[in-house]
Amino acid sequence: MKKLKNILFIPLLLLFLTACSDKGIFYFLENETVEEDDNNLNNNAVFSNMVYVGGNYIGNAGPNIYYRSDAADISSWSSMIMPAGFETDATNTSMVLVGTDLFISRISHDGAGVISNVYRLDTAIAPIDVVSSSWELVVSETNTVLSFHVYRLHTADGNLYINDLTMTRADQYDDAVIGVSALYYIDDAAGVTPADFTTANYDDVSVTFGTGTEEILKILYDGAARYWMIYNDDSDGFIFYATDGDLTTGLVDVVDTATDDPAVLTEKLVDLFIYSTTEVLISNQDGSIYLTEDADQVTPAWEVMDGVVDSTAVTDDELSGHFFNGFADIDTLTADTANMVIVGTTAGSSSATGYYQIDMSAATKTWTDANFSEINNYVSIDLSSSSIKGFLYDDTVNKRLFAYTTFNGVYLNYYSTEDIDRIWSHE
Amino acid sequence: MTDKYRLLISAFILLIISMVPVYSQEAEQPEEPKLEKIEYYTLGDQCFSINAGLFIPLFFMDFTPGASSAVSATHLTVGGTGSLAYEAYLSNNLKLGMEVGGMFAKSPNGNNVFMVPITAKFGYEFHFGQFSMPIYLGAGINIISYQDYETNVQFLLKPGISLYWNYNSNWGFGGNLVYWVAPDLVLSNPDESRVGNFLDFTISAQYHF
Repeated sequence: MKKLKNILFIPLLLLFLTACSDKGIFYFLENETVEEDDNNLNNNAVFSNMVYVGGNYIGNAGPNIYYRSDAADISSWSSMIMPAGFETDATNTSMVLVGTDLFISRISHDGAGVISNVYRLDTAIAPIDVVSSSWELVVSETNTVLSFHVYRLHTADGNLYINDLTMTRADQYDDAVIGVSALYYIDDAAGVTPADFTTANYDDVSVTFGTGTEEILKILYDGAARYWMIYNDDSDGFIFYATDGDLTTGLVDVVDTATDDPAVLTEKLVDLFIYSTTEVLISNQDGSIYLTEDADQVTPAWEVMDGVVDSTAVTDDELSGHFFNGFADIDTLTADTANMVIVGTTAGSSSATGYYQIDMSAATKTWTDANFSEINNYVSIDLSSSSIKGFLYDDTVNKRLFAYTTFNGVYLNYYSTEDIDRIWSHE
Repeated sequence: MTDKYRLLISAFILLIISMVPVYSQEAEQPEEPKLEKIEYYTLGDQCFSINAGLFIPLFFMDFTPGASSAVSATHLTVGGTGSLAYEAYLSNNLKLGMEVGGMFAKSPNGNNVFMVPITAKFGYEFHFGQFSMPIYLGAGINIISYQDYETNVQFLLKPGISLYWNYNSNWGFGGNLVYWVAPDLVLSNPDESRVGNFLDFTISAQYHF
């Protein structure tokens, strides 16, 4: 009889040893809903960035710019008419919103040379009413295929910044490389006219680049004291900040690598984000995020923000070559996202690991799964394994969060009255 | 000796001869055949089976107190399953062995759910001429995986029945019908615990050695 008891004990022991899961897979399957795809945007569309202005969501999709109204959760996307002479045979290299003006940089190869332009569009014109002549040409360069310009636009605190990359190559069939990188800015770009966009009116920021071949990745203003800027050279990342006023000549300093965490700067950087004025987050290609909570100090101290989600470390090793990209403050999205920052993961291919959330309220930042979508369809749709290029959460009235991905299209997170929950749907 | 005597003697001999078969028939009367039980297998015999077929999701059971419904849909499609089993005979009818298998089915969004059951298997086998019909119970662990969501290791019970036609002393061919009682228990959050109920129907080839 004692032996029989022992035998019966074995499956019970096995049961408790094995049944130590944190999440129920069957529970999730029971609640899984089909990914909705109500809108007409191609599910392979790649947006390099998105802006929200004038009641429209606008996405830069290379040759085209798409827009849709914010009037309803489901609304069709349309293609905006592009500038005259370059309606089809050109590609947008960047798009920014400065005030209510939409700026795009565009490049075209007409067979004889390379034409690099910057255009401005007054968004008081409804996108559906835009015609090719609505775009105002503000910068134009025509060069040979052996040496030409690529403009990258940035904006911070109402200023337009133009990173002018002079690309060179020895032969027309070679890959072009950055020969010279210069940064210009135009103060209060929303108020200037195209006539102001002359070379003579450019203010050269005169950043002392190490080799002159760096591409600026991002410029941000912290809302109180400093402008922050990140760029990479061929092997390392660099952080600049301006201690006062605009990011202009003479006000730019490199973050002191001797006194700050050098690990930040020994990898190429990916993204820059400022939370609540004084907390600066920087991600690098090593798969780490670095944080400083004293951004207003002359020599801010940096700390690595490796996190833990569901007992799994979120580190460069866990990400297997992926890195963090596309920060967004989703504080007002739901009651569950107070003090939350969302950050995507990205990689060279379409496959990555979706996104994570960081609770910025605690002294020690805590990482979490997407708690506003844990009980809906996030895990079961392609977004959870997508390479995310960025998020757009500017429509705080309708509380719509967009995630744009590499090759998996654009997703919208909204409150579905049918599902009685926030869900992700394919745009 | 007169002719009369010769005739009597001849008649007597013929009578005797004619009676021989009668006694002989009585002597060769067949005995009732003895019913002997044929032992198909004995201790030490073994068999190896390979199985493949359909995985049929039935329902989930929710034992949470106050749950709105005790039974809910799995939302899974009919999937595929396969397994390899090794068994040894303890006697003509009793078998003990182990089975390693796998299954897949698709979720509403087209994602694959995988389960890998590894079970110990105890069975009783009935024999009907060239046919055999084992009934059995498998018990062991079930590795459940879905997307990047989680990989759960759980307990599993698999009662089943099979029917084989034994082509010869080595090979048998048939089919299996197996019920899966597959708990997915979450001790840290009991509300998410469910018991999966599935059925698999597979065709099988079995080799005895």
